[in-house]
Amino acid sequence: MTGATDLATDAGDTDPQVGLRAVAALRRLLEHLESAQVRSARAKGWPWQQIADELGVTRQAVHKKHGKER
Amino acid sequence: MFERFTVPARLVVKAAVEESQAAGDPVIDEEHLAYALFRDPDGAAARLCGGTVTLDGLKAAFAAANRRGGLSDTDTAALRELGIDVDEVVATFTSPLGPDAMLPPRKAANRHRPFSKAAKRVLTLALQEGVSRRERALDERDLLLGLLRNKALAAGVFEGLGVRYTDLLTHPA
Repeated sequence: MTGATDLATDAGDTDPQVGLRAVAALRRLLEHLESAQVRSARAKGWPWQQIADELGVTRQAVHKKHGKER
Repeated sequence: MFERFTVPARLVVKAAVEESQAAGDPVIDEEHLAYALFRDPDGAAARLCGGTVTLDGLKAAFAAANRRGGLSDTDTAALRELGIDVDEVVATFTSPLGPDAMLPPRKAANRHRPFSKAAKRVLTLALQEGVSRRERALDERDLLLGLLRNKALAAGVFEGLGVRYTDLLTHPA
């Protein structure tokens, strides 16, 4: 396994690559965490509106993103 | 789109659909394209990687990543350098939800199964690879290069197995 620092050094430009790659990885993690939490809330019988309120988005937005998963 | 694919490349896409169906996954994702490419241990993709990548190795790496919020060992190492312990974050977050909470729900084999956004990008990048080398059709090597160029989960998994886009570019086709 290669560390992020080695990768960046290979590419010749250190900081932006490490930072950007970390942001991309965090975004992917965030999407997975959100899906898991929404599935759990739905399984517990939460309505879409309540999930949307907690996530700070509209009911339509959360339904469009997660509604197909079931 | 698939009229630009060589016959072996079309078979890989077909095999990817089968891999997704067999696993009951809701979409056809990067991992299914990767499994399809490496189904044949003597196939083009395995030869290009010099035998370092096996189907079992890929499946283990993707399974671990899926339980860890879609992050490969490479991603996890990158975040650790920034002081973020992904395993701890995921464990804390999902412990009330059960061990399989991060995995998508299973889907019946006969239901409609779309390509994921990431998998679509891989196919688009693979086409670009073919075009950039003025190939007449997209082959298995282009599909593998597409996976490595997408910089999503698959690229990190392959990097953990010692396969990088830049190395493969210089490898004779």
